[in-house]
Amino acid sequence: MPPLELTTSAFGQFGDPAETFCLITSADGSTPLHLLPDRGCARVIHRSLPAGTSLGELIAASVPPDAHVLAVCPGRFLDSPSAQQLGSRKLVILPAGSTPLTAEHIRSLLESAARTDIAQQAVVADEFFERIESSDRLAIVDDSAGTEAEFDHTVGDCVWNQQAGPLDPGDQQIFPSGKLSVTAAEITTFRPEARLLGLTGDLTLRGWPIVHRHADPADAADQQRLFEALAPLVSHPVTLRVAAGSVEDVTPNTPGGKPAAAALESLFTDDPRYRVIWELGFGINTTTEIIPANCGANEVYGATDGVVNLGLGITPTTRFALAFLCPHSSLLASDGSAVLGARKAVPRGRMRRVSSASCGCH
Amino acid sequence: MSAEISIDPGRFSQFGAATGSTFCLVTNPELVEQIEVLETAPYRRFLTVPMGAGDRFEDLLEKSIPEPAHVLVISPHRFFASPDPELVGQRKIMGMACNSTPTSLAEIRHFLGIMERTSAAEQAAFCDTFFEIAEESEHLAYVDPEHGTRAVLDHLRDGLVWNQQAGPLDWGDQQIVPSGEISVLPVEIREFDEALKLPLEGEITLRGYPILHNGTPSFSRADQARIHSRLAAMQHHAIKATVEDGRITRLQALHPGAAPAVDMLEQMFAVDSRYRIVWEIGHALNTALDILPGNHAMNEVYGGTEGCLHYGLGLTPYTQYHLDIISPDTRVLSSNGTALIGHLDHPTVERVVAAD
Repeated sequence: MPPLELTTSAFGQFGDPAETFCLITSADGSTPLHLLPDRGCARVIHRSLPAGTSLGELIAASVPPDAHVLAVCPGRFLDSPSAQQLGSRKLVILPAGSTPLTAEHIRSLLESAARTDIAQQAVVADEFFERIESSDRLAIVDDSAGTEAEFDHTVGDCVWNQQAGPLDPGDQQIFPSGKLSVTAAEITTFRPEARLLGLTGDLTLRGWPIVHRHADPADAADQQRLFEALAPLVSHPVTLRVAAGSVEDVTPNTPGGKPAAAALESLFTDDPRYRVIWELGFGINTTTEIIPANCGANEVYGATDGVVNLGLGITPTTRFALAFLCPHSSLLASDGSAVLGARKAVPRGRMRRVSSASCGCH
Repeated sequence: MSAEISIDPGRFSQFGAATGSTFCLVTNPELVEQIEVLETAPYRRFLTVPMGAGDRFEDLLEKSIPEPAHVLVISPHRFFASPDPELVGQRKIMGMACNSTPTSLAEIRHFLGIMERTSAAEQAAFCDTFFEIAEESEHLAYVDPEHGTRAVLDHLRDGLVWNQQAGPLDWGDQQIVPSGEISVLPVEIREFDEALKLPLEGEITLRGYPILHNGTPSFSRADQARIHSRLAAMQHHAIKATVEDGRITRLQALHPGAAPAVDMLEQMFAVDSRYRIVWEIGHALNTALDILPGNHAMNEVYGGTEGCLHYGLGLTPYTQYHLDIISPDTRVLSSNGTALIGHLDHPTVERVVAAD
């Protein structure tokens, strides 16, 4: 397959063009993207990331200051550069190392990123935070499963993160963009005692899971096994009983959910740190589609009106970091209105609206 | 034999992106050689799975259809029973409605073309608008100004289920195709209980295109064709039906030409009184579809230019037949007079495929 051809202005998160756009790829020589300079960008330079060199080191040493940087390094786990290393450059990273992406997946994600409306995403993010700030309480509900968890975001420490909208100099962001989240501590440093203390109730997992690993390729086989054990969650819901930000109990909603529930139980037994709901995430990218595989970039998937996701564990403290997309869930404000999610896409009204293909007359 | 039909799965907008999935065509063994799958979309692989006599689709799902997959079922020779939603897994399933009426390869080709022209995004938007207006309405009126009938549905009544067969498919979802219908029934669609009825009162006009679906019990295709041909009198001549508590209590031919259809309906009522129940009201919205003359299940989603109504009597597999009557003269209005289906003040153009 020939490399995808795009121009530098396709990625709206960078804002006004810089003189230099730098594409960083893996050292194996594969270049998934042919990037052409346009609209004020004078040149596109390529850097490959040698084994043993960190992304931050490479950027600090060989990328011009003020450059716009896109890192697409399949198979490489990328640690975020420090503020000092990044300087005033703008950086976006396609997460292609913590999960095993194919060339087709990367192509599809690059295409989605180029079609993503960054200005619209900024509006959605602003509205989201306005609603959160003006609401005393939040709730996460799954109407099809009938579950509800309360999230009092005024209790304990809550750090809100935005991976969406335009970048300022010195910023770095996930690519494709489009994720908002809340964690109990700074997102990059695991504090074992940190909890989203205000989160209590029942949360239903029904959607694609993601199993991230850290840098050791030897973890890949177990990573794949765990993903396969959890993948039935796509159509077999499992409910987590959560108290003060920690999972107390796992229940399959139907008999078909038993294997995934058992896999979760076993994970919690082996390492109780996975019981902590480390992150409540909200995918708001309405351009990307789900990659039907273990794909880290699925975290930004926002269906039509946003998707709730849960994050358990954080690498390398825990061996894997798990994310669970919950496209059937909704985030509600204290007045009961939907901030984001399934109920925003299909408002709950007086008519019972279903979609079942079972009409017998075919 | 060279293939008579080409399918390009990348053209079915309901499936969404192909990347990472298998495309799987499930069809009858006698058609495998006659249907060619064009490998243009970036699927990981393309697979054809035969579904022969005695094969259950649910078994094929378990044994032969990988995950993740986009699955298209074209099974004119065997009844395709929609699988238990629990078994769909990491798949999106579209099933062509081509077994409940006799369907030739040429007809399958015609409706595949409609599926390619169907926009999932436009259908989703139509549904959102439909529900937005209906939610605000006190009742829905089913009005045929040309024949002077009006019936009212208490559409917010508890127990009614509004089933949407339109818009993009999510993982784990299944859809009957061509898509494009919002139907209301008095209960979940797979159940049938003659004590349940739609809260519909008044008079309705039956004038349009009947579709006579067969169920799973043994029957004669010749009988099906004969019954349909009698009912087809309503294409040009209207019948007024009085509906009380969701049941048709009286039929009246508004023109002598409608008499054969009235007679046949009366005979159906006599054999199985459950045909009197207006079991389904279908609000069809496929505007890419022109009606193919004849008894074709896939005409059911015909949406004209502003949506088109059909009434459904009986429910297979419980009754021998399910009779849909596409009624282009009927408009559906909200209590403040907004049209949900059809145009407020003029009839819609009937779009029918010209005979060869």
